[in-house]
Amino acid sequence: MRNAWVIAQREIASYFAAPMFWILAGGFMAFSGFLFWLYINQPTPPQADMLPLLQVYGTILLFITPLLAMRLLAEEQRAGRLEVLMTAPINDWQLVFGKWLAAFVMFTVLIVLTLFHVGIMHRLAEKGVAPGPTFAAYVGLILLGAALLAIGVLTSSMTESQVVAGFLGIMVIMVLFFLSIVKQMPFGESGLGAAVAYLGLSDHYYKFGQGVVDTRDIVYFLSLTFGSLFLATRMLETRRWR
Amino acid sequence: MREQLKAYAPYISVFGLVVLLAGAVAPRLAQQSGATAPEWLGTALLVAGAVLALAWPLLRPEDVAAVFGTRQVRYGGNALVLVAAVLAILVALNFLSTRRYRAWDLTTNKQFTVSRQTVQILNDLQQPVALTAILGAGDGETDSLERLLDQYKAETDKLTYTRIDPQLDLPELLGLAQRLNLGQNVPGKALVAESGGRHAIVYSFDEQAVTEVIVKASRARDKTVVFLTGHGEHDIAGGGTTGRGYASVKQGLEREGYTVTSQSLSAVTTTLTADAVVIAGPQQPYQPEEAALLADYVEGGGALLLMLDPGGESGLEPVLLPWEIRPHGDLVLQSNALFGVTEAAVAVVNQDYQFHSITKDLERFETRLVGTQSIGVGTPVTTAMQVSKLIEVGGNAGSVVWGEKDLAGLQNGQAQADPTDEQPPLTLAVAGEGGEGYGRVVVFGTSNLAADGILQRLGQAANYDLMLNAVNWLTTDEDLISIRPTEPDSRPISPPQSPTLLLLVTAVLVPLAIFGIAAWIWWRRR
Repeated sequence: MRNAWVIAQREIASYFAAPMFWILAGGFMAFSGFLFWLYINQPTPPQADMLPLLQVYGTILLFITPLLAMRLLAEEQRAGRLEVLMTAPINDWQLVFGKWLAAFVMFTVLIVLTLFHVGIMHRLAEKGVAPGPTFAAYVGLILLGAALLAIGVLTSSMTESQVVAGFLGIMVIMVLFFLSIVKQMPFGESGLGAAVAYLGLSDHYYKFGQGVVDTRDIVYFLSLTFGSLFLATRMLETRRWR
Repeated sequence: MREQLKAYAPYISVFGLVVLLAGAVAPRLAQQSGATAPEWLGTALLVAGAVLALAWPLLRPEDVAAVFGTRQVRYGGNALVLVAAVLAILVALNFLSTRRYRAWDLTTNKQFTVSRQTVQILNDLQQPVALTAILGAGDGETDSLERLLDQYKAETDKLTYTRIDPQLDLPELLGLAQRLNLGQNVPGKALVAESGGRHAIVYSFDEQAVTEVIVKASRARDKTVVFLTGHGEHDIAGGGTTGRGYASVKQGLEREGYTVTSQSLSAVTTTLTADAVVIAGPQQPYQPEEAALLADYVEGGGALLLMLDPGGESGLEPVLLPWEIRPHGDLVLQSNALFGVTEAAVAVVNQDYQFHSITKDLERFETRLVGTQSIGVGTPVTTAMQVSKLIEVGGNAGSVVWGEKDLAGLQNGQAQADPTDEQPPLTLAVAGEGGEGYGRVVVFGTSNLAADGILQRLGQAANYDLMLNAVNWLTTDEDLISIRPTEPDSRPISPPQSPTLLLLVTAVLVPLAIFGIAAWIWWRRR
C-alpha cells in the first residue's frame, strides 16, 4: 500500500504540474456552471435539488474520466518507462492501484469543485438544499467515477497510444452505461436479459440520484472497480511472459 | 491399426467435438420443432462425442505436452484461470448482494420507504396474492413499482409478481382479461391483484395504490356502493336520452370489484350499512329525518359522496354542518377574454388540483366541471375532523372565473362578475375525514361530474377517473387512508437578484481562474 501511495503521489504531482488537468477542470466547470445557471433561471422557480444537475454532471464525466485515465499506463508504455518500473521493488498491482488512486484523487478534486454550485443553491433557497439526497447523489458520483477511472486504467494498460486508450475507454463506458436498455427489449425479461441489464451502469447510478443508498449498487460499483483494476494488472503481467 | 488411428487422431477428435455439440443441441432443437426423439439420444451423443474427442490427447500425448509445455501457454493458462476465478467471485458477490441487501432512504420525506401500515398489512396476509402489472418495460412507472415491490417482498413471502407488456405479451394480456371478465375494457396500464378467486384493479402504482389492491383482493367480501334514489337523483340504470344517469360509473365500479345498487332512504328502517353512499344531484330536498339518518351514518364511520347542483336547498345542510362545508348555491362561470365567451363550464388543470389522494394522479389531465357551484370551507367543529380542498380555481391568463349569484338575472342573459358574486379562488370540490367514528365525505358542486351524457360529450376528460378515485378513497380501509402519498419535499429557489452576475461567476469567472492556472503552468514550463 505504501508503494502504491508513492506512485499515486508522483502521479498527482504530475497531474497538477501539467496544463491538461486544469484545462479539463476549467472546461468542466464552464459547462457545468452554464447548466447550473440555466437550471436556476427556469421560468418557473426550480427546486433546490442538485440531483438533476448531478445526473447531467455524471453524464459529462463519462467522457472526462477516460481522458483523465488514458495516459496513466499507455504513456509509460510508449515512453518505455514501464520496463524500468517493473524492475523496481513494486508489484504490478501496486503500480496499477497507485495510478488509479492518483486519477481518483484528481477526479474527487473535480467533484469537490461542484460544491460551489451546491453552496449557491443553498443560499438561494429559503429552506436550503436537502442534505440527505445530495449526500447520496455525491456518493453515487464518487462510486461512478471510481469505476469509470478503473475502466480507463484497464484500457490504458492495453495499448501504448493514449488516443486509442481514451477512445477505447469511452466506447467501453458507453456500452456499459446503456446496457440497462436490454431489459426493454423482447428478450429482456429472460434470465440472461436481466443479467446483462444488471451490468448496465445507468440504473445503478440513477438510484443514488433519487436519494437512496443501496448496498447492491455499492457492491456493483466496487466490483466493477476492483474487476477492472485486476484485469489491468493481469494485462501488465502479460508483458513479463509474452 | 494403432498407428493408423494415431495418424487420424486429430480428425477423430474434431469429429468428436461436433458430435458433442450435436448431443447438447439436438434434444432442445427436437423439442422446439415438436419432433419426437428418443430420450437417450442426447446422452448417447454426448458420451460418444466425449470418447471420440479424447482420441487425440490419448493417442498422441506428445502433441499435448508440446502445446502445454510452452512458457506462454503455461503463464497464459495460469492468468486465465486466475481471471476466471476472480470474475466468478465478483459475480457471486453481486448475486449474493441482490439476495441480502440494505437500502438507506435519505430523502427528506422518506419517499422510498414503505409505511408501518403497509408492513402490518403484508405481515397479516393469510393467503397468497398474485400481482400482475400491465406495464411496458419502457413505462416510467415500471422501475419505481418494481423497486417498491422489492420492499414488499422483503416483508412477506405470500406475494408474487409478474409483468405483462401490453405490446409484447398479448396472449397473456388476453388471458388475464378473460380470467377477470374485463371484456373489451382491457386497461393499457393497471395493477391487478388476485387472491383466492377474488381480484382487484388499481390504475396507480404508488404505495397507497399497491397496498390498496392487495387489501381489496384479499378481503373477505366485495364493498358495496349505494346510490340513493327518491329525490330525482341520477339513475344508475342510465337516464336514456336525457344523459342524466350514472350507468357508466356503475359499470366502472363493478369492474373494480364493487357491488353497486340503488336504494331509497324510505326503505332504510334503522341505519345505513353500505360502504359508501352516493347522492348524485337530488332535485327535491331531503327531509330533516333523512338528513339526520345520513348524518348518523357519516358520524358512525360511513362514507358519503355528495354531488349538489347550483341553486336550491338540498336539505343536506345538517350533514355538512359539522364539517363546515357550505355549498354557495351560485353558478361558476368562466369568461374567456380572448374569444369573448362566457360559459358555465370550468376547465380544471394542473395547479387547480390540490394535493390529495383523490387528485394526486390527475395533475396532467383536464377535468371539465359543467354547471357547478362553489363551496365554502370553514373550520370543522372538532380538531379530529379534517377538510381538504380537492379543486380550487382562480382563473388563468386570459380567463376570469366567478360564482354568479344572480341566477335569475343569468336566465335573462346577464352574466357579469360583480362584487356581490363569489370571488376567486373558488373551491369546487372538498373531502373531509375524521370525527368520532372516522367518517368521510366528498362534496362536488355539480352532479354532472361523471353523468353518462357528460362523459359521452367530453370524451378524454378525466371526470370519470376523478369520480372513481373519490369512491375508491371513500371506501378505502382506515389503515390504508393513513398511508398517505408522500408529498415531494418542496424547496423552491428564489430567482437570483442578478442572473447576469450569477452567469458571470459560475460559467465565466471560476472556469477562467482555472484556465489561468493552466496558462501559468504552460508559461512556467515554456
